[in-house]
Formats: sequence, C-alpha cells, structure tokens
Amino acid sequence: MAGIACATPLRSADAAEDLFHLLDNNTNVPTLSQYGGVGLLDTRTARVLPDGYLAVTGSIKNPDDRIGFTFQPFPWLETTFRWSNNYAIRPEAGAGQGADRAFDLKIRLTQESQYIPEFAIGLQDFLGTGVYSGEYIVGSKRIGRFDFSLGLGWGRLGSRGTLKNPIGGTRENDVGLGGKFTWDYFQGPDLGVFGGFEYQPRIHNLKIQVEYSSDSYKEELRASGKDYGFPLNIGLSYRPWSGVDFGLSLMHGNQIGVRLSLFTDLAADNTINRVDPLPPIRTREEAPAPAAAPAQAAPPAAPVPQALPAPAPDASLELMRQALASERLIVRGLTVGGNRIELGIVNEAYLRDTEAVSRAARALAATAPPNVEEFHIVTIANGIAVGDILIRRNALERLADQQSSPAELLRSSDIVPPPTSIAQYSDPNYRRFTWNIHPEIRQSVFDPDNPFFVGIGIGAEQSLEIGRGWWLGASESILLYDTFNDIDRESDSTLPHVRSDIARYLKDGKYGFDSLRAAYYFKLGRDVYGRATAGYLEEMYAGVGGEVLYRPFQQRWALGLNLWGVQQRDYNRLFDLLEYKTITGHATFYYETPWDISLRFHVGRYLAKDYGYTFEAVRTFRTGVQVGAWFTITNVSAQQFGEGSFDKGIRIRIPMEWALPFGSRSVFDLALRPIQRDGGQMLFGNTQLYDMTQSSSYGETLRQWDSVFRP
Amino acid sequence: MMRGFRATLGVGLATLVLGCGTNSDQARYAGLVWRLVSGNRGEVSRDQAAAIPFASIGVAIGRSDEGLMVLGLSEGERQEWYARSQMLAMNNGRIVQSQGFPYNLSRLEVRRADGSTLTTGGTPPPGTEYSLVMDFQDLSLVGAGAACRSSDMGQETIEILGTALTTRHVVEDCKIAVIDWSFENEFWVDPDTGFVWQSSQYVHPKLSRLTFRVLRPPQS
Repeated sequence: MAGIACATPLRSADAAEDLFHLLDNNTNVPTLSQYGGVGLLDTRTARVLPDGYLAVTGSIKNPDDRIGFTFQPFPWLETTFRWSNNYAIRPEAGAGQGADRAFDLKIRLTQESQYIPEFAIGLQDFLGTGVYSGEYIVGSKRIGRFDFSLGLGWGRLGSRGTLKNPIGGTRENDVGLGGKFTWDYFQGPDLGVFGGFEYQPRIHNLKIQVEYSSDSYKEELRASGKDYGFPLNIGLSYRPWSGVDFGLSLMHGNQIGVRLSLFTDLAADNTINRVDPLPPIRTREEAPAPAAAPAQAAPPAAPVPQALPAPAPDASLELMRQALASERLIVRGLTVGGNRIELGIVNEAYLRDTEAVSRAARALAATAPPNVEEFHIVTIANGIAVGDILIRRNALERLADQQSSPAELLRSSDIVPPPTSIAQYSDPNYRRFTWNIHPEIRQSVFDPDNPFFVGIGIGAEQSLEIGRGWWLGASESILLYDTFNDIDRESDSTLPHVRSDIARYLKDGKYGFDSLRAAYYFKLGRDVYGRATAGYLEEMYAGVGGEVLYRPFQQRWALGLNLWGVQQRDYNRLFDLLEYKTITGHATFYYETPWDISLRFHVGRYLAKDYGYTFEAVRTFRTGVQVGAWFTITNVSAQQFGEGSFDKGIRIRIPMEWALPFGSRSVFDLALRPIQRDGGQMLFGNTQLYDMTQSSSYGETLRQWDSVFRP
Repeated sequence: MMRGFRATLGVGLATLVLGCGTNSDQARYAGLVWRLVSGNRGEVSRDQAAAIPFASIGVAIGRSDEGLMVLGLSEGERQEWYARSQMLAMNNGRIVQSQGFPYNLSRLEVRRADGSTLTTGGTPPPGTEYSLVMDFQDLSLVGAGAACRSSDMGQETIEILGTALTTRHVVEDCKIAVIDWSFENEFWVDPDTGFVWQSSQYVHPKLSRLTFRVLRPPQS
C-alpha cells in the first residue's frame, strides 16, 4: 500500500478537491453488479476489483436469482463463477431447470487517466449453456461525483438489437450441455448499446446507479410470456461496514432487486493483528530483568550490560526445551555438541515453517549456553526432514542490535537440502499421538436444484506416529442436522459412478469415517520423498498405493508419480465396499513461476478408467491464501461426460492465520465445480508430498524470510 | 483491529475448522472470543513496569491489550517512545507523530486561533478555540485542520499501578470538516505542572483511539 500512497499525489486539505468521501468504507473497491462482476446493476463497467480481492455477491430479483464468486487474480483480469436460477426459462420443467452455472472473464485494457477512459473487454458465461452468453466492450470515465460507462454488447448483451452487428455471423445456443468454447464470440446479428452512471451524493458510503441495459430478456419473454425488457434500471448501493455492500434496485420497470456483496483483500497482511508476535531476539549481552521496584518511585537509569551466567548442561537443555515449547513448537530432538545445537522440530502451530524456524532460533538465542555459536534447525513433517537451516548466533545478535538486516542474516545462514535421515535430529523413542474434535460442516454447493445443501455435526481425527515415518490415522464424523435428504437429483452418468453418487454418500453416510489408514513416509535420497498408504483412503475409496516426489533443491520444478489400486466404498461410509475397482495414477509436473503462480500438470489414468490430463494454476499470496482454477480433459467425449462437457472448477484455500490474530495451521479448503460428474476424477489426497514439502522449500523460505526475521 | 468482513469471516471459518485436541487452536480462539464478549483486556502490571529501568508508558489501541513503550529520545518538548516496531512522538502529552501502527499520524501541529503554532503542545487552556493541523500520508492528505475546543471536566483522581493521582480531566472536541471527521480526545493533567499522566487520543480517522498512561515518568 505504501507504493500506492507514494504514487498518489498529496492532497492539501485547503485545495478545492472534494474530500467528503475520503473516509468512506472501501473507496478503492468499485460497485459489484448483480452478475457478481464489477458493474452497475445488470450491466458491467470497465472498473475491476483491486488485485487479490475476492467478492461474493448474492442477488434476488425476478426473473433470476444469482450467486457469484469474483476473484481478481491479476490487476488486469477479473474472473467470476456464478450460479443462477432463472424462474422464467422453462418453468414447466419445475424448479431448478432454469439453473445455470457460468464463468465470466473481464480484461482491463487501459487504466483511466485524465483524458483516457478505462476500457475493458469481457466474456460472460463463455463456457456455459448459452442462456447467459454474451460479450462486451465497455469504457468508464469519472467526472466529478459521476462515474459514466458506455459499452457495446453481443449475444445476450446485444439482444435489444440497437445496432446491426458489423461482424455478423451466427451464434449457437448449446442449451443443456454447455461447458465448451464455442468460438462464436462477438458474432450474431445484433449489437447492443448499454451504459449508465454511478453518482456519489453527499452521504457517506452511498452511491446511486442508473443504467440503460442492452439485454432485452427475450429468452425469458419467449419462455414465460412475461416481459422483463424495460431497459432502464435504477438502484442504490450502501456500505455500512468495511467489506459489505448492500444494494437495492428497481429493475425492468417493475421488479425490486436486492443485492448483498461481501468482499475482502486476500493479499492483506495480518501480521500486525497477531496477538502472538515474534518474541524479541535476546543477545548474550543482555542483562537479566532487574528485581521489581516501585514503578513511579524509581527514576530512569541507564542499562548495565551483564553477561548471562552459564547454566549447567542439563538445566540448559531443559531451559531450551521450555522456551521452544512456549513457542508452541514440538521438539523431536535437541542436542548440544561443542558450539552447535542440533534441533529437530515439528511445526503444528504456524502456517509457515520459516516462522517456526525463526521462533526456534529466538528461543535458542534466549536460552542456549553462551558458548553455543550455531543453531542447526531441521524441520520434520510426518517423520521425514523437509527443511534444514543453520543460523549463526552472532549474525542473529547483530540483527537484534540492528547492526544488520534480515538479508544479511540470510546470507550468513546456510539453507541446505534436508537430510535423508532424521536420526541425528530425533529422539529414538519419540512417539506422538494427536487428536482433534471439531465442528463438522459438510456441504453440497451449486446443485442445479439448490445452490446449497448443508450438514452440521461433529468430526474427530486421530493420528499416531508408531515409529519414525510410520503412522496410523483415522477421521470420523457424525451429522446432527442436514438438508441432504432434499437432494432428489440422481446421477444420469453413463460412466462408472465414481463421484456423481456424492448425494448418496451424503444421505446414507451421516455416521461414518472418512479415513482409516496406515502410512509410511520415507526419503529415498537427498531430493526424493516417498510415502505408501493403505486402508480406507478417503470418503469414497479404500485401497493401497503410494507416491514418489523428486524435488531438486533450489529448483522451481518437481516431478511426482502416484499409483493407487482402489475399490469404491459403500455409501454408508463404514467398512463395506462396492464392486467397482480400478487402478488410478498420475505423473505430475510442478512448477513455481516467479510471479507467485504455481502450475501443476497431471497426466494419467482417472477413477473412471479414463485417460487424460489436468492443468491447475494457483496464485498464492504472501498471506498463504490460495486461489486457483483447474480443468481436466480425458478421452471421455463431451456427450459421454454430460452437462459441462469436461471437469473444471476453482479452488479457494484460506488459512486461519490470515483471518485470525494468532498462528495456526488450520485451513479452510473449498473446491467449487459447476457440476460434479464422473469424467476426469482423481483420488482425493493422491498427491500430498509436494504440499508437505512446500512450506520448508528453498523458495518458500526465501519468500518468507524477511517477514519472520525482523529484529 | 480486525474489521468488517474479514473479522466475520475469521470467526465463521474458525468455528468450522477449529476444535479441541492436542494440536488445535481451541484455547486461543476461546480466549479471544471471551475477551471480545467480556471486554476484559490485559494491562501492564506493576511488576512488568518495574522491570523496565527506563521511563515508560502503557499504550493500547481501542480494546487491545496494553503494551509497553519506553522513552528513546527526549529533545526539548519532543519525546519519542518506542516499542519493538512502533513509535509515538509526543509534545507534552500530545501525540504529534506515530509509526508502526495500522494507520499513522504523519505530523500534527497545534495552532492558535490566529494561526500561530503553539509549540508547547499539550492542551491549550480550557474554553479556548484552536486547531490541530494533521498530515496523513496513507490518505495522501496534508494540512487537514481540525477545529477544536477543550473543556475542563473538573478534578479527577486516577490510579496508575496502584498509585492515586489527582488530575484535571480535560476533554477536547475536534472536527475536520473537509473529511467530515469528528473526534474527542481526553487528557488527565497534573493541575500543578501540566504533566499529562493519562490520555486517549485519535491519531487517524481509521484507527481506534490510542490510550496511554505514564508508568514511569521521565526524569525532569
């Protein structure tokens, strides 16, 4: 934000500029349309969200209700995933038959300057069923308290037919299947003109929208006989709190519309809110705390440097263990040899392993005997080493005394490949049993009949490390309340029902276990990680298999292989199995781009015995929040796949540490796909090793270093 | 300091994800919720203050826990108080600059009604009208003038670390018309020396009020 502040010219309060709205909530966030993307009411503007913002918008009005997730992965690209229920189209087919799931894209072409408007081009429902498909080019220009927009629309957005489309051509409305690139964008006989303005009255947090829509709702007229084609819409938007935008509108001449948008900055750092800040780095020269004295009676005095006395070795070890435990670190092994400490830690408390290493170094600096000069800290996950850092105490103390920088500390430290064996860093008798009981939420979202089915109950997890790298684990859940019995849509898939019977698992498996398995984690060499797992692997499959990951140190790429023999579990999520068996596995290429975007390319055999590939792109913010998208193409034809034509979706991963004011490794993970089908489906948890090694990887350590090694 | 949607989302998601167990965040989460509900906040204790051999103040933002800041610089009327990553500059108890807080005051000057700068800081005599001229770098706003009027609320005894202090309670009402921001600062002032023992002041329109109390006064 500092960069923005620097780039913005200073405003003098004496100047004529109107600063009345300076303190309004989220002045940097433009209004969201009823489609979810940035716009006025039913039309779009050229404005986009700030980089890294996520918005959820729900709107209710006739003839359609909409829920949209909008994410700004780049400053110039706006993406929206939307579920709509159109009551006017095919009402005779019953509720849900007008339901539509769609993806939108908007690309900002220019940024507004004194004379040049902001321009954007957009594709609406570009993989959808055609009902909402349309394209537009729009420009926006702010003049005083007004923000004007004017645009041209094609497809649905040109249905008013104001002008003849000079491009011509025809459009295909592939209603019922969808999910394909149709390549008839910007074609069709008609071209629409839309526009409007947003006005800021002298009332805090309030805006007024007026628009002329080029969407004549002619499909709705044809299907229901009701005319929603009145072109003028007016509305209000009000932001009572930061991140909340409430909208009220008069649509189509006679319909009341209500909209609620919630938005947040996924890139906003939460460090300053932490109630467990990094402890200060104590140097060997620091004096111990003096005895208590009456506060106001004592005058200020200069500190007297005094060396810490050297405790006995055993007491010293205990002191260090206590200091590490107070930082919520699990100590697997701690030894002092000569002037070096060898420490093996397990990080169960912080999202970033680098923070755990920093806290360990600070704890050791405060408690280690004065003759210790080096802290060798090995991070261990699932019984194998994933990180290895040597920090020199003098360099750390120079940082504490503000005589050097985090970059200098990094240069003086050794980040090396993690060892193949952890024998030197783990007590031979180390065992650990962990358990957890938590509220359980199970959901089915964007079903064509209902956008949200939910179940609430209690979940539990247990794991026991029975030997170095050997694990037993289980997780169970009981639903106390749910709406899953209302799901009456059954799978019509012609493929084996490898995933599309999810509703049966939700309905019949209200009491059961998600997993019950044994696992062995190991390293085959410096850069080669492996695991083997057997048992009830996930909610729908039991079996045996494993994974190997080659992740060369200091490289941006990695290669993984996984292979699983699985049998489908019974719907009740207990011990019984169904007849369906298969072998599935993939080769995966991982690549970390320099732009905080991770790419994954999987090639292999999927659960329905189909062959193909999956491509994933995920943006990771410094906060740890991840937002990404994937698609899978296999040898299953679009016809055989069914609605949606191929598997695709978006994934949002929100670490608790981003939202809560203390360190945590808990994560909320949500995968949204337009519809759950059977083609291109993988085993859940088939690849774990890359994510397991990511937080301690060389690249991630460098990325986080400055933020955790502050004085 | 967590605001709006983010805080709501945090509480909501935490309810979904957290629980109890060997490695859960339940205790911390429950503690935070309890503090929000009860309004209790942690204060610097007498022992903690006594353990610091420097002049020190206890500072809190809104309802946050109180933290210690120590005197790092005293030059003329200006005193700079430091914590690990925050700084407050004061002029006889008036905060004139801040650094390291979520939102910061870049500069503040107290001006008399005739426009001349009141270099001694602190609170002008009750009943007088004056202005605070403030800069906020993050808002790209300089020279925002707050029209103020202070009122003497009478004698009040406050307690700091168990010591009762007799003070005059001065309340200052201000408004920056250009950005439509009104705020109220409070000072508890030694009636004889004018020393500000305790105060709550707004340093930025988007930040809850900063409250400080002097735990160990600087040597005069």
